[in-house]
Amino acid sequence: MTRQERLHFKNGLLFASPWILGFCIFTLGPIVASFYYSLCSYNVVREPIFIGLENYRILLFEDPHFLKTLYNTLYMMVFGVPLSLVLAFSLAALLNTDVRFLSFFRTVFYLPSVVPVVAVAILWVWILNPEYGCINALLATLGVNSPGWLTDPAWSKPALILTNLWGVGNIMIIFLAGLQQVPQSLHEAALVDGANRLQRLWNITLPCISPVIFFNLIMGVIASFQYFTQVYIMTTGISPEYGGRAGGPEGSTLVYALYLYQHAFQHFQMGYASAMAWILFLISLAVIYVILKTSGWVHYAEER
Amino acid sequence: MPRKSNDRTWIYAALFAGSFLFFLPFWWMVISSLKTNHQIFTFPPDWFPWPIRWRNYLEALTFIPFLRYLWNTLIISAANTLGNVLSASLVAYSFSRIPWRGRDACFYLMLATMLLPPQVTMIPVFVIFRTLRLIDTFAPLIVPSFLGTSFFIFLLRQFFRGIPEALSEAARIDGCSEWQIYARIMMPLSITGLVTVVVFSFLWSWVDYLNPLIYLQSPEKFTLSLGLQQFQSSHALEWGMLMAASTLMVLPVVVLFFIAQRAFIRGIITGGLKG
Amino acid sequence: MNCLYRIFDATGLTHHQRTGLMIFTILLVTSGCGRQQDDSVIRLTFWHAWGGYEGKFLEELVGEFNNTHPQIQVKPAFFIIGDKLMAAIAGGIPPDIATVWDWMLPTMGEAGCFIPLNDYLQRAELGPEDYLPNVWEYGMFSDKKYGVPTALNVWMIFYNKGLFTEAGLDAESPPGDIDSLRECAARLTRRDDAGKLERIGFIPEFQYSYIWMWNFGGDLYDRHTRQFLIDSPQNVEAMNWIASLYREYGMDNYRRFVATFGEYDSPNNPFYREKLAMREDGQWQISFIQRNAPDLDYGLIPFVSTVPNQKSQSAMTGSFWVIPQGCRNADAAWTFLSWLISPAQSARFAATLYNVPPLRAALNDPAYADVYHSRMRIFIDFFLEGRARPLPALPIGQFFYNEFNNIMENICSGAVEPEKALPVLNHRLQGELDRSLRHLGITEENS
Repeated sequence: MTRQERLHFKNGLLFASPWILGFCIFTLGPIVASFYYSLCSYNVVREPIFIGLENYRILLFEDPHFLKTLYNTLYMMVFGVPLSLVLAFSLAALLNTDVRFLSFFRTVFYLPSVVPVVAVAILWVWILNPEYGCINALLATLGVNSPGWLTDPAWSKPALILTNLWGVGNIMIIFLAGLQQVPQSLHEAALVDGANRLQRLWNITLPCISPVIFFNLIMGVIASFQYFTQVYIMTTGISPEYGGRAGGPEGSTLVYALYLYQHAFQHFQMGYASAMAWILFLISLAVIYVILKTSGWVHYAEER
Repeated sequence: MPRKSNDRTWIYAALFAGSFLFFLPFWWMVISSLKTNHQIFTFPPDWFPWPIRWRNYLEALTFIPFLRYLWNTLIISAANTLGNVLSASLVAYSFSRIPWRGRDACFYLMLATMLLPPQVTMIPVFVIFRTLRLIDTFAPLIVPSFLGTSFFIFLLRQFFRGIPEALSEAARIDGCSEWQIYARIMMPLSITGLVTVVVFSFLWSWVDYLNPLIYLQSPEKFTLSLGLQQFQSSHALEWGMLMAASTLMVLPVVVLFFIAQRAFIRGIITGGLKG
Repeated sequence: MNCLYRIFDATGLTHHQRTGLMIFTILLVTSGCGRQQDDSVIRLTFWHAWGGYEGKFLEELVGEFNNTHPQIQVKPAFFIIGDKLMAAIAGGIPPDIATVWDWMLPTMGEAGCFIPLNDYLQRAELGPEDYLPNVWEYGMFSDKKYGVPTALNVWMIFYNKGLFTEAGLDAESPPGDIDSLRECAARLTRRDDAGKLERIGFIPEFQYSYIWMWNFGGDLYDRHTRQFLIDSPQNVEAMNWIASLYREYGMDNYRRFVATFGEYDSPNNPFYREKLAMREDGQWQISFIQRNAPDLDYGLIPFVSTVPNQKSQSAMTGSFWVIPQGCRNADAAWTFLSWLISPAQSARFAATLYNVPPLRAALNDPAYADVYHSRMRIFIDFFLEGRARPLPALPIGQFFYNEFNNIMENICSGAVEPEKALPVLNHRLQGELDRSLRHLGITEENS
């Protein structure tokens, strides 16, 4: 390296040292440790006992809940993420049409996403109560038969997705900003050509904001793999003495992260939980890889 | 033109309907905080309760040591904000303005860590803090932010990249040290970005549940998120007070949002769109 | 506070860190008690799990101890039982005395979280004969006693006499066998025109299926061979019976109906509100009814047995006090604990909670007299006859809980049949137990 390169290298490391330090202590070290734990039986109080791949063997081949929890997590991802994106985009598109009271609408849609998870969960358990909640009250006034929501294994995951939809404000704002960056000139040209709103949407808007869609998609997928706090609070229920149990009616809301938590903090099997975490990591990497590989539909501005 | 106004009617209708649906739970939360437990459980629900029971708010403040929790949460949030601003800006400067070998590799490595499920590192990190005898202190909640948070580093890096290279290059030629460039040029020009970091860092600390849960043992050290749980009595759920406390907890965030709307939005945009 | 147990029991959770939807804390802990020790005075921290008036009473008791034992000062603190304790022990800063649920005792005990109390008990001259039947073995997996029971509960079927009379049944002679129980349940059930449930006559909660397994002559686990017995034909029969009841009501209907229930400790309790004509509940309900619905005319059925010549049995549940590893002064902690569990204090505590004290001597203590001669008598006699049984003590307690409840729920909702599900459960539990014993280093030879 030239002298200047050496100088830059030194400075670069220096300035980046907080992150480098943090990475080594809080990421790299723990990753290695966690992998080691996954090969052990470990209850935190005593020393880990090496047991090789036994945790993985049991998890992948003997645990009856493994597939179910994966299914639950993937269900949330496959249905929850697209729905969130569509809703967020629709709201953003509506707001992008030069409406009055923009500030008001934007606030109303965004605020729910900053309400603390604990409060959201507790609030929505109540809202979704089949007999007393306001959702079913609303449906009743419209004459629709109301589902059991969190009490019904078939409706519990949709209930969770619905709760999540309340918090799409975050995603909406990003879409809104993206929409506002679409060059007016393109829209005007299309108008001259006689394109209506929908055509413009499909041919101009969507391709232009495809990087934004992509970003939100990735973020949403990552979040859905780690989804935990909300479902835990909501399914343990407000009246557990009447049978509310984490993981919802008949394990229908037992998502992977929740099952992992049970093994770590209720069964005191940190080793098994670590193995679960690694499997989760690998699966999420695989999914993200697939999404990346199939992201040909994303047009970056530089290519136009 | 008739078609246009037709369109607009639909748009307004959709927006108002959407707002109504989005606002409904908020309204529910607020009015529940003003009812007695008995009123909350009536069906069909009472959308405009009368009389209003302000007492829930008073009781919420005394039922749990609300002010103490507020203070704890404030300390932690403020410390985290400071830590994030300092560390993220330093690291972002390194990733954006100093051409050093391995820089981009480190950057992508940092991005990759965002994919890591927290469960993977949760237990070993706990063991680290235990060995350092820092369980039941605020340290585990504050120290990590002084060592860089990926999202904020990413965000500020984008901001810094938006500042013309010419400025820092000129300063370098003039003989300024990296520190001077960082402190005198980059930081002042990135006020919006920094405000964004401040706002988000504060918000995330404010509502954090996981970390206080694991690391705080003594009740007097609890934060507001943990405190909210304590309205569940063993035999009855103090709904009214719980909703009151939730409203109180959301209030500062709402205020912050109104004040810093631009920063919020700017920050989300920059974090999400560029690069 | 043992209805608290019921609540946790029902969820199968050991604590509610994340949800925290359970416990009301009266935080009496003053700020940061220093862990520094005075040379002359030994300071201990005591984590208990009782809130409300129960917690208050306990803390008053602690105050009495402090007054009479100037050398040892104990500071009580309310906490939610669960991984908080685990984290404290793992974090190296445990309390000196703590409370745990019964299923957690062997799990955490065998894992090395608590100090064995065998020697202390021997020195205090407390042995099996001093306790009520089945209580000495309660919570013991190996031969180490990791904790002492605090106060005991037992479950029975409460029934609403008024509703019985209304349905033309004799309120004074409730059903004594399975068939009449079912018949009464059917007659007491009410539906509205749309078929929605308005009142359930009787439905066993699936978390307590094991009580019915016992009463059908089955068992869960053999302590000596360390084998699970869940797939025995009697258990299958018991589950078939329970599942058939759920089929009658319909699980969906049942769940929606449950969602309408009011708060447990309030006048809106579904049993008081006549949404349930008969209900399995613990003996503390007597005091709850006194408080919330004093006019309720109710009776008690001590479960029913299908086995000829075998009286009915019921579940014993409760919590334990333990001395965690890492306690600063185990001897002082034991001094406090032995005072707390002595007959006089135990009687007063159990009386306040409307629980049953573990020691026989406490039963006869004058402080317990009022409770003894109240409707609690039937529960106490039940204990004395040895008909109250605890769940097996296992080092995989929570795992057992989660898996058991999971299968029970699936059986009751009709998703699986007992004939198929119980052997699978048995196999899974056995595998987990064997594995756990291997890891703990407990084999046939050294246990």
